[in-house]
Amino acid sequence: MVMDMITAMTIEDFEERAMAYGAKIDGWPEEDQAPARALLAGSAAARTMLEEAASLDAMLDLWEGPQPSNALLSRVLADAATVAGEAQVELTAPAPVRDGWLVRLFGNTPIFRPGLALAACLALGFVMGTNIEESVLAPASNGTVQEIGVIDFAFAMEDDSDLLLGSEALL
Amino acid sequence: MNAGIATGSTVGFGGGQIRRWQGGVTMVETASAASVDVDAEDDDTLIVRFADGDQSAARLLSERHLGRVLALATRMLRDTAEAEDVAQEAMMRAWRNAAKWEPGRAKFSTWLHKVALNLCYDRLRKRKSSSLDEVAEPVDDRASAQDGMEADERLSTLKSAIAALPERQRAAIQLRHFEERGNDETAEILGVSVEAVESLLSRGRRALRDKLAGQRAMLLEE
Repeated sequence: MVMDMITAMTIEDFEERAMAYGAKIDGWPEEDQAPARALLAGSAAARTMLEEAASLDAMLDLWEGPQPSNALLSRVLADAATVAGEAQVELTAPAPVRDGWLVRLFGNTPIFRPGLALAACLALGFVMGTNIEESVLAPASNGTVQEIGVIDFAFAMEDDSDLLLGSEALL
Repeated sequence: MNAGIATGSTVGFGGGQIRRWQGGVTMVETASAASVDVDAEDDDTLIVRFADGDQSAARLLSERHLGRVLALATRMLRDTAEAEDVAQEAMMRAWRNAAKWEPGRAKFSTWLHKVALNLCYDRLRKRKSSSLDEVAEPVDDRASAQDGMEADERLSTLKSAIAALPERQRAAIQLRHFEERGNDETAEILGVSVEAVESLLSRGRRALRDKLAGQRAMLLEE
């Protein structure tokens, strides 16, 4: 069974793997490792390929990755603190007060406030005016009848003024 | 191979002190619990801890991943300032998405590298589109100027050869060779199949071998 796997790897397959994954056979796909080692043991061409891959690995390793500076780490941690702070604000912020129907209708901008005040005054004036007119004209209660009687008497006095003038004339 | 920031993150609780970073201030507090190795905590635990308001988890995650993300961005962009911006932005996205993180669903490191790689692609795309509007090729000019200041000519030759590779071949080599990630994870980060990863690696390394063939003796000081 092992021999079948070993013979399954051709020198072309070996070259392909060496080119893709480099000289460390431990890093190749697991199923390729044993056949590759078996081929390597008996093939000078495979050894040459692996040496070539090792050279390329060594050249690549010349470029070492940079270490993060303290300044970068500080910026990253400051970002984390900012995000954590925002999350805290979201958790502790009070629920928004539900607006009344007037605000929903007209909005909450200051420009509508004088208009609303004017409208309220007009409405109040209309209501008050209507009530006074009704209280004067409607003969619904005794009090109202008495008021009308007083007004009639006043007009009667004006009507009698001619008599007074006449009596003065007589004098 | 690149490593993260080297700091002692094993903290002693047994009658000792723990240095806890909170909002940019290092506080020292006493704890009486048994000794705990914070390195043992996996990324899932740390990201959940951060989402719960524990900012010491942010430092541990940064120490663990910032170096690798920065190395990826540096090799992809070949510009230190831009690479730092990408690394910072990738970590910022981690913080912003911490509350939505579902432990066990994905590997944090894979997710973070994917984010960083996409940010690199975005920047490379912008460079290309801006270079179309200009007469000169800005990336090559800047790279040449930067390389001119580098004392090590060998490194400059190598960087130029890697920078000349197509983006995905470059990314595949970065993840597989420099970070020693497996095929499955590399495929996930690149958003391609495992077979495609092998093809990208093979073509990329073959191109590098051919390009550097003449400089091999100089590069390896043979």
